[in-house]
Amino acid sequence: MNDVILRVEDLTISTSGRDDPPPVRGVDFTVRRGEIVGIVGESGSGKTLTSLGIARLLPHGLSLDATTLEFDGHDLIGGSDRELRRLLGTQMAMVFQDPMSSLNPARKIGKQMVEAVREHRGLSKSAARELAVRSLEDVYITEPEKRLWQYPHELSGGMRQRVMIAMGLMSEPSLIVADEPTTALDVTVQAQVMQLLCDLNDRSGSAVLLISHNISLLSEVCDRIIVMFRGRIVEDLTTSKLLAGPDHPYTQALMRAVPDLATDRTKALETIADTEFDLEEPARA
Amino acid sequence: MLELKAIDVTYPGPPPFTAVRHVDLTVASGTTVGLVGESGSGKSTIARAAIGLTPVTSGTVTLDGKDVTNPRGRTLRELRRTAQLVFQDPYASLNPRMEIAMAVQEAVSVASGERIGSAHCVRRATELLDRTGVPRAAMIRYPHQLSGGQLQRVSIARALATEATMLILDEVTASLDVSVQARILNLLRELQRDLDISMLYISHDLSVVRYLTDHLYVMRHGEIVEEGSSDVVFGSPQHEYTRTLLAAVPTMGGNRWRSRREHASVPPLSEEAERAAPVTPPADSVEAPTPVPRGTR
Repeated sequence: MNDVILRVEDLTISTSGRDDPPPVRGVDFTVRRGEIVGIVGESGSGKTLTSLGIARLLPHGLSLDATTLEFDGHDLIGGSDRELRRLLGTQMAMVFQDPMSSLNPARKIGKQMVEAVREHRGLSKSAARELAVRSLEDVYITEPEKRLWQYPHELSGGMRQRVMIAMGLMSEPSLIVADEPTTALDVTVQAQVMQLLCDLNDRSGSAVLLISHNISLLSEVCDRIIVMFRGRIVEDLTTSKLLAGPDHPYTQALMRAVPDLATDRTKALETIADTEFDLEEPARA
Repeated sequence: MLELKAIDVTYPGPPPFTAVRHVDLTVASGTTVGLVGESGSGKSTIARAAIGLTPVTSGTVTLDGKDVTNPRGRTLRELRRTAQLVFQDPYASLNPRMEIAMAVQEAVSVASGERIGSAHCVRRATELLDRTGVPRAAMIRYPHQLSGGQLQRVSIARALATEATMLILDEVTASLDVSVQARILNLLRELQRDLDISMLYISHDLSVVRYLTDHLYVMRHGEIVEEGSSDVVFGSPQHEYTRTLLAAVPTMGGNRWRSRREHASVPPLSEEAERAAPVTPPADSVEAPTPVPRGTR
């Protein structure tokens, strides 16, 4: 079996019909089976578009081009829509920042979970329901039978995000793509969701591609971290290399810009002096 | 000095919701005080109650010894001059059709009584924008042409226009990129140093609060659960909740969640923590359209 679950070579995402530089340019990286890889970047770095591109979920007006875009040995560019749908629907799980916008507010949790898995795996209603209950248990939701009868708004933000993860897990994906899954959550709930992703990775061996603006968070959970700036990868390094000291000045600056609980209070924070990496300027004209 | 004594704030129902219960909080002159807590803990309600934007149900608010509880008329106008609130979303508190320089001149004008465009307003507005690090070129631009960090600098400049001695900063860096956040935090440090100004810094980000504040209050479910000098609270937190909160903050290479079995520093998933979060967020944890203090617009 191939060791690599996701291979991306020279991925470029362009805005059609405009002269702007492509928001994602020449991105290369791979994710191995069972690996947890992080993508970190500030706004406009292209981290979210990269993840949407991989899942072939780019919004209209954006086009994707790559030398290679392979998931589990399957070509994601040449394949038919039908093939893509089957492959991505079952093998790749997406978790977004705002679970409320991915869940249908007017339908009960159970109905949505069962529908998704029946669509992709052709299970009977009762088998799908059983699987839904088991998946909710997997993400540590208590009284799962009761939850199936609740609407999304009846759950807290952390619980909704766990339902989203449970939905993704029902199809036993080999890759979970999570784009800022905890940004809208409180730190204590964030800790629980991170714990959960790590446990799942441990138990089922699903690889995780975790996208975040928080480099400290990624350094806690990832094997490897990809640093993006303005549509390009500036550094792709192991977490131990990151902790030992990254090579790229932008990565270094990013690490120093975030105060942590040990930052010296008597000194000003180091900011990114290099104007090439200045996000505050130039102003949008 | 800002003093909140036994403050209760209940939002009218139905059903009525008590967002803040019996809170005592003091910001001594010239100090920066942090207020941390998770969504719905009542942080923003305190910010608003302190300057009369949200009525206090019981208790008293005093500023420099003067009673400013539920201020009206003259008291309110004076309070607007001495205490200013800066919000998370600077775009929402600026007039999209007004040039940056004008927006700041307007605030200067309200504070000084001089006309917009007068020599005083022009000079003072330029001074303030220079002070907060807004580039000269940005002064003749409109809000949508500036970056989030620049807009937040403009908001701070406007708050300083009244020569306020008390700044309440409510999640002012929450929507900024980390590199821009670092610069705004440095600006706030400079203001602490150069101006005789007190700050109440409200945030859910404990690392930022620890970096910026002398004294700290931790809130949960509308109550203060712990209070003390920042060094002491961060160094040896007494309350269980403060410890939980601190343990959850991601740190460089903390590696807690990957190796859970070896050292479980994060409490295991429990329904407890979830139940703590109200199913429907209380009114004040939802981003409300940002009201602008009357005196500043």
